[in-house]
Amino acid sequence: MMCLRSVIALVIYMLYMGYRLGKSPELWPRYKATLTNWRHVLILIIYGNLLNATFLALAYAALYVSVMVLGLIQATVPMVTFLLDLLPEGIWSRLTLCRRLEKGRGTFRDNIFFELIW
Amino acid sequence: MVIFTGWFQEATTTRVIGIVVGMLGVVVVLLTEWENRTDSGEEEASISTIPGYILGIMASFFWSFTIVMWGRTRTDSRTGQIIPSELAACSSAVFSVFVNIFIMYTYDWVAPPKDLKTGFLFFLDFSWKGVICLLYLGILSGFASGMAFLQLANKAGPVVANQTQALVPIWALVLGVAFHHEWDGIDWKAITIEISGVVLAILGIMLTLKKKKA
Repeated sequence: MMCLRSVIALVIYMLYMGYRLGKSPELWPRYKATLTNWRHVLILIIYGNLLNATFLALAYAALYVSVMVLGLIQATVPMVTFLLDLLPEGIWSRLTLCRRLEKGRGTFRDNIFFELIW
Repeated sequence: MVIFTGWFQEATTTRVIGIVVGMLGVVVVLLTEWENRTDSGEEEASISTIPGYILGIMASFFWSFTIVMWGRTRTDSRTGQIIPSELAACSSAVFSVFVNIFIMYTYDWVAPPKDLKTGFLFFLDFSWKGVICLLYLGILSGFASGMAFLQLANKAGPVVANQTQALVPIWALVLGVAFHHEWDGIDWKAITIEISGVVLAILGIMLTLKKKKA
């Protein structure tokens, strides 16, 4: 049932995007520009994966501790967000593999490797 | 040093107080439930609960990291191009299908169900009630909440967006009292504690939302 729920959500997202595109076709270049920019695609993949990793971790955590304990742990989310939000911009651009790539040095593969071991 | 550099740039005392008060509110709301559980011996700290704590902390970090990363990286610094929110929400829904398939095939293995019909893999309910619940989860809990959350994060920032976590136990309490009559037979002391927790959580959110004076 949960899998079907995700499929329904996905179908509705598609319909919503179709509706938006139908209403204002000038959005298409924006979508296209995002989907053809590998860095943006990477961000989308990281976003989707990490968000679902959260739900996965919560689903399995619920097997070991009660929902109430999880609620207490989740109460720390705003504080963790706040602390992460304090990190300077440079760290985020490094984490998303963009700073050095922007300078256009080396091949794509070399740069990815460099960023990952940095 | 890194933390403090950022601190002076973006943190305001009100915001920090708001976050702490909000957290305190959630803890207070859940406190009475905690006491009930420990009194009845349901919640015993043991080695078997450690994976749960680790996974819970991981989930907390992932959630925070994802939303801050989204806020910081959705605009391309070179071109000023912004990733449309619906694409991010759609990406999350695509991976959600895979994650749910993974859960479907592993959950029952990790926690074997007492009755196969109630297991995760075999849980299919196509009665009217089941279909309505499914549509509710897909449309409101899947699509609408995903879009609303991203819009809030885009407009108000990741901290305010994640402050909505403080509202979760409040909604659970309100719905529990409204539909499950959870306050029936509970002494006034517990009710007072829960109400003060709700007040603290709302106060925390209000303080976080308060804008810095120019």
